[in-house]
Amino acid sequence: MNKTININLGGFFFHIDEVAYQVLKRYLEAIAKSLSDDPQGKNEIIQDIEARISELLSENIKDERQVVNEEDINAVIKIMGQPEDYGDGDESYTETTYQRTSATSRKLFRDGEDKFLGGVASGFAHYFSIDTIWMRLAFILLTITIGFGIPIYILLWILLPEARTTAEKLQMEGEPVTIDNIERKIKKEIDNVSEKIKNADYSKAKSGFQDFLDTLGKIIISVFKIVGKFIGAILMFVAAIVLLSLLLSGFSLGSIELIGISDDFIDIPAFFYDSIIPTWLITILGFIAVGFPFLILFVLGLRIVSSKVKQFSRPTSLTLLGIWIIAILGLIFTGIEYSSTNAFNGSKVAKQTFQFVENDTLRIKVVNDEELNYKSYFRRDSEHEVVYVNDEKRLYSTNVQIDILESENDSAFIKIRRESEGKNRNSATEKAEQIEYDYQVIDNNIILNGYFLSDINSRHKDEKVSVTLYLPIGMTVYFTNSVQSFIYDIKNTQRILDRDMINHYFTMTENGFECTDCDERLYRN
Amino acid sequence: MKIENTKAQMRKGVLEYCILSILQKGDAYTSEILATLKSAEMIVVEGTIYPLLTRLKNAGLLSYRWEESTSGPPRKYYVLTENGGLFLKELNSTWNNLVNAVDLVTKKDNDE
Repeated sequence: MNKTININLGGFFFHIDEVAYQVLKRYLEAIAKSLSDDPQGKNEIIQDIEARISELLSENIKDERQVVNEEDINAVIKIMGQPEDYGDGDESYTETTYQRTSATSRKLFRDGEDKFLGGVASGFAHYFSIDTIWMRLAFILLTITIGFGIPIYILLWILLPEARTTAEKLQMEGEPVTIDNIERKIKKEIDNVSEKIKNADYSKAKSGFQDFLDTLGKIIISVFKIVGKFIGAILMFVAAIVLLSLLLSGFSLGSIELIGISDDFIDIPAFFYDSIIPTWLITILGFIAVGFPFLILFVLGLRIVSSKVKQFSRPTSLTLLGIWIIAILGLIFTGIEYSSTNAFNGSKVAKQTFQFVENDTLRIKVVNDEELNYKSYFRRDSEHEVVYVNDEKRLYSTNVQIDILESENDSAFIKIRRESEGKNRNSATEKAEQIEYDYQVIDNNIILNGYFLSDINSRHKDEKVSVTLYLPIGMTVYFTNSVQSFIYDIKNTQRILDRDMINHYFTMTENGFECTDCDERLYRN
Repeated sequence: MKIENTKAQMRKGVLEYCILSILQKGDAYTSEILATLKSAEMIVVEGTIYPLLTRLKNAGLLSYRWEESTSGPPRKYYVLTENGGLFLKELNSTWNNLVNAVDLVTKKDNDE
C-alpha cells in the first residue's frame, strides 16, 4: 500500500505514488543542478522537460484513475537520460562526467567526517584538493610563527558550515550533484559505518576524544554567540539613545520656534540665521544625515540579537541611501552658502580731530555699559552676547582694539575703523556701518567704549572695531587700568609689552612712543 | 578514454546542424524532432536536446509558437528564423567541406 500524491506536470494532472514522486522530484532537481546557471534559460528548459515527461507518461497511462509508479518514472528517465546527459552543449561530455571539476565550482565546508578538531583543515584540503595533513601543518605553522593560527581556526570553525547533506558533501569535494554521485556517496558512507562497527574498539576510543572536542567546540561557539548578542544589544542601545536624543532635540528646536521662547539660552548653529534654506528644512536634513547611520546601526544590532529580523530589502536600502546622500548634499550646500556669507570683508573708517593743550596728559579709559550687559568681564574677546536695546535684539561684542601711532601733523586725532563680513563687498560695508561704537572726550580724558553693538544676525561674522589714536610729538598719555585687555600691540621704543604699559606715562617723541616712568626691568631691548 | 564518449561527442557536434536541417523542412514540435533524431540514431537519450533547443532559440536562430493538441497539452512548435536559415547555409557548406576533408584524410590512411 502506498500513499498517492496529485501533481500537475506540464499542465497535466497525474496521480503518482509517493516513492515515484520522490524519484521524479530528485530527478528534476538533479537536472536543474546540472544545467548552467542562467536562470531564465534553466526554467524554460525544465518546463520543456516537464512537458515532455507528462507526454511520455500520458502515453502509458490510459485510465485517469491509474497511478504513476516508480517503474513508469524509471522508464521515462531511461528515455530522457541521466542528469549529466543534459549538460549544456558548450561543455564537453567527458569533463562533467569523468573529470573532477575545477576548484571554482567547489564550495567551502567543514568536513565533519574527517576532523581532528572542527574539520576546518580537511574542508580546506577538499577545496584546494590537497591532502588534509598539509592544511593541518599549515595551521600549526601559522600558530607557531605568527600566532594567528588559533583565532583564525576558531573563526573559521564558527563561520564555515559543516557539510551535512550528501549534496553538500559532493559540493565540498567538487563533484557534480547527480543522482549517480549521491547514490555512490551514500553507499560509501554506509560502507564506512559498517567498517567502523567492525573496528569498534578503535572508534570508541577515538569517539570519546571526539565527543570531548565536539562539546568544547559547542561551548566555544555558544560563548561567541552570547558575546555577539551582547555586542548587538550594546549597538542597539547606543543607536536608540542617539536617535531618541536627536528626535527630542529636533522637537524641542521646533517647539522653541512655535512657542516663541527666546533663544538666549541656546547657541543655535550659525546657518540657522543666515541661510536661505528655512530652519525646519535644515533641522530635518541634519536629522537624516546623522540619524540614518544610527538607524542602520540599530537594525544591525537588532539583527545580531534576533536572527528573525529581516534585512532591509534592496529598494528600501537604496532609497534610504539616496535620501541620506540628498541630506548630506543639502547640508554641504547650506555650509557653502553660509560660508559665502562671510566671504568678503568690509570696513568703515571715521576720523575726528581734537584740540588739546600740548602739555596736557591724556588719560585713556575704557568703559562698559552695565545697563546693557552687567556680566561683561570687561575684557576683549571674540564672544558675543545678545542684549536688548529699546526692546530690540542686538549683538554685544567686545572685540575692540586700541592702538597708538604718531600723528603726521600737530594735532591729535582718532580713527575708528569698523569691520564686518558679507557675501560681497557692499553688504560687508553695509554690515560694518551697522556697527554702533561710541567714545567721549571729556577734558583730558578719552573715554572709549569697551564694546560695540551690531546686528543680531551678524553673530557668526568676524566683526571688530579698531581704535587708533594719533598723537603729535610731545604729547603724553596715561593708560588707566581699564584699557589693559584692549590695547593691542602698541609699538614703543623700549618694546614694553602691552600688559606692562598700564598705569604708566608714555610720550610721543622724535624716536617714537616712549615710556617716561617705567622700570627698566620692563624694557625688552 | 571510452569509445561511447568519443561517439557521443562526435554526434553532439553535428546535433545543432541536424536540428536546424529538420526545421528547414518544416515547423516541428519537440517530440517530432526527437523522433526524427532518434530514428536516425543521432541521439540515445532525449535529455540532450532541451538545453540545445533553448540555446538555439536564445541565439535567435529558432523561435516557437504554441499549438493546441487533440491528445495532450499544447505543443511547442519550433520555427526556423531568417537568421537560422543563414546560419544553416553556412553550416551546410562547412559540413560539405568537413565531409570532403575527412574523406580525404581517411582515404589516404586506407591507401597506405
